[in-house]
Amino acid sequence: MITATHYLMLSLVLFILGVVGMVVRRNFITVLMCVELILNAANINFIAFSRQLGDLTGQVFAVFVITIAAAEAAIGLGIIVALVRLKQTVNLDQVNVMEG
Amino acid sequence: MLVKVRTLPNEPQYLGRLVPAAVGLGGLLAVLVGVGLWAAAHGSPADAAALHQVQGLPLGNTEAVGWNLYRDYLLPFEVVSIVLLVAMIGAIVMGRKEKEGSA
Repeated sequence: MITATHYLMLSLVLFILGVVGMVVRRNFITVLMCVELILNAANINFIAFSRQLGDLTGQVFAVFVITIAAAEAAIGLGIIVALVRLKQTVNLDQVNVMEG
Repeated sequence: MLVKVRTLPNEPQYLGRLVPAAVGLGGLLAVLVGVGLWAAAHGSPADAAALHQVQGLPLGNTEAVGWNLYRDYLLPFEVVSIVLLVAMIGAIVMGRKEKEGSA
């Protein structure tokens, strides 16, 4: 029997992987993928609690989260294209135009 | 190449010494997925029945989600569609190749 706790553990692992990857990695594309990991961890939470409580709202909100993740991926990839045109790199350490 | 990058520096290969760990974790994941599939095939169908009875409606899950999405959450649905449109236009504008004449 798979309970909500199992889903929450999986979601926790995904979330930690996403946060650690976002902090550690220097590649912009990898950071974007880590954001997707975090959003999908939230999705798993939504679905798990929807199943646990017998309420459909969580599933509907998971659809919304997927949509916003798609918009975020489109914007992020557009930023990557503009960044590569400007700096010829996707390494975030070399993007320091806003440092004071 | 799509964006004409000629001088992309070679990223260091992080995975090099982690290959055995990656193979082990992959094998563990495969075993877990196999066990899960076996349990789903041979376990009790109570979970599936519970999913088909969400909110007491005698609908399939997809149909119930659809009703919920288009009836109770119609306004957020439309707002999200606007967000997607704006994101798409923004991505196109950012990714567009700039002409030499215009700034």
